[in-house]
Amino acid sequence: MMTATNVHKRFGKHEVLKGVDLRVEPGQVICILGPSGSGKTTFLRCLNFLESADQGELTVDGQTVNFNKVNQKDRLAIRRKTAMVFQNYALFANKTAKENIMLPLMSAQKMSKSESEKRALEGLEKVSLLERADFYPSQLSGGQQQRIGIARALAINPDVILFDEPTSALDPELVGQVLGLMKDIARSGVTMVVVTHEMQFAYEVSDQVIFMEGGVVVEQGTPEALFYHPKKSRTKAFLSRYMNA
Amino acid sequence: MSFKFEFFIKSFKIASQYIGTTLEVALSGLVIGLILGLVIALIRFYNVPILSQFFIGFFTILKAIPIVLILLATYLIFAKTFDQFAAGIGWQMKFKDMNPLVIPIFCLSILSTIGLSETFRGTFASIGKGQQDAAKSIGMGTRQIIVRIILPQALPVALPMMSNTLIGLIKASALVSMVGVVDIFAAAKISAQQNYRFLEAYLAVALIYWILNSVIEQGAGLLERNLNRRLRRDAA
Repeated sequence: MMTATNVHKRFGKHEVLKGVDLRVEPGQVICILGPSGSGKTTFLRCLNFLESADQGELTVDGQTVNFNKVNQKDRLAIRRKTAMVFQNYALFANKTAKENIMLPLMSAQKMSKSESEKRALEGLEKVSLLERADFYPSQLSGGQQQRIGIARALAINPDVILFDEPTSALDPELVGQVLGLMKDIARSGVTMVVVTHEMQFAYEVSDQVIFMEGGVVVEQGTPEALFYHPKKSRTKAFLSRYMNA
Repeated sequence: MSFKFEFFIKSFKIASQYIGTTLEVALSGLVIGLILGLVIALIRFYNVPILSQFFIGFFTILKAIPIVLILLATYLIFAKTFDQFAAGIGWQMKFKDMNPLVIPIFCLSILSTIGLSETFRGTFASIGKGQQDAAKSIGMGTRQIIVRIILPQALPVALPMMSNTLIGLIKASALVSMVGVVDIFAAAKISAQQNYRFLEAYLAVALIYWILNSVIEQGAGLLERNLNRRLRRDAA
């Protein structure tokens, strides 16, 4: 389980997050929607300390830290319980697909080489890329790279995987591949927080949908409630474009 | 003006006996520059407070000064203060007993440290924040990120600049004769003065420099292709 309360973040004078809360139960899939610049990605990055939030609390697996006085040890400990999938895949360019999955297992999870290799191969099989194990990222398509990125996150068996617009850099055909994989993962009970613009995916897969704008959560609810009976006019306006399409 | 081929050969033979000295000075400068340059580049890359600013200031001053002045000034400072300093800390050593290569190596190290730290800083930046974010997000520590992600990608990219730096150091090492070290250039000059055949001696030493630097360039090219093949960076 992961909870974040009252997360604040400012870049200079601009306050990007104005007190955002999030509660994720084990096995839940939460999608965060919202226009560009609403603070979704920043919020997600704060949950992994890639951005340092100015204020707020974070609890992961019973461990609670305060954002403005978190030390390096707690930061590493929480990072090791979470994983992130990035918009630009962020695979290690000097490592093969297999090594990309093995490296975090060996260096952060202190697993033996043979065991991490076994896990990496299982992971590659899960994302149907076993035959690409020894390929370098530069030799793989965007969709394949992102599936490796997802396998890398899955392999460490985290309490929650954070997805930061995982399909935004892909062409429409490849988007399907990656979303299909994410649906399978969601069904297998992995806890996920997904920042996305894929409305259909959010509707089908999420347990809860959050609509963010201007650094606050405007509305939160089940996909059914948010997409078909939004309470706030802003949510309605944002979603109507997708619902009519 | 006549060109006497036999003097050319003679100068070539004399000067080439000192290739070892030239290489020792240049390679030591390179190795020290690689180590310090890497450390300083990391300090500046991670914006370590105080140290980072210190090196920026330090480099701004040193970068603007010709190496020949740094060499002469260092020599004077050492000559004037070394004995006192050594006595102060209880060393038996005197300036006149010091290995004459120390000062040239020290100065060429400054030159290569400045150049290589800038090179490394550029190559670190070329790796992109994404991969570092990814490494951080799964709980890898800074040291692991440097050793496993940054250096393996930065070093091959920096290789052509390293070989350039080495070539620059070999050429700059011709200045060491100014502080009493006999290298290939100094040896050629001495042989020229003995025979009054300057052109032959200068051409002979030019040929030696050219051979040395071609070998370095070819070697670096081979190494680069090898690394690129292994890292598959050519397709990236």
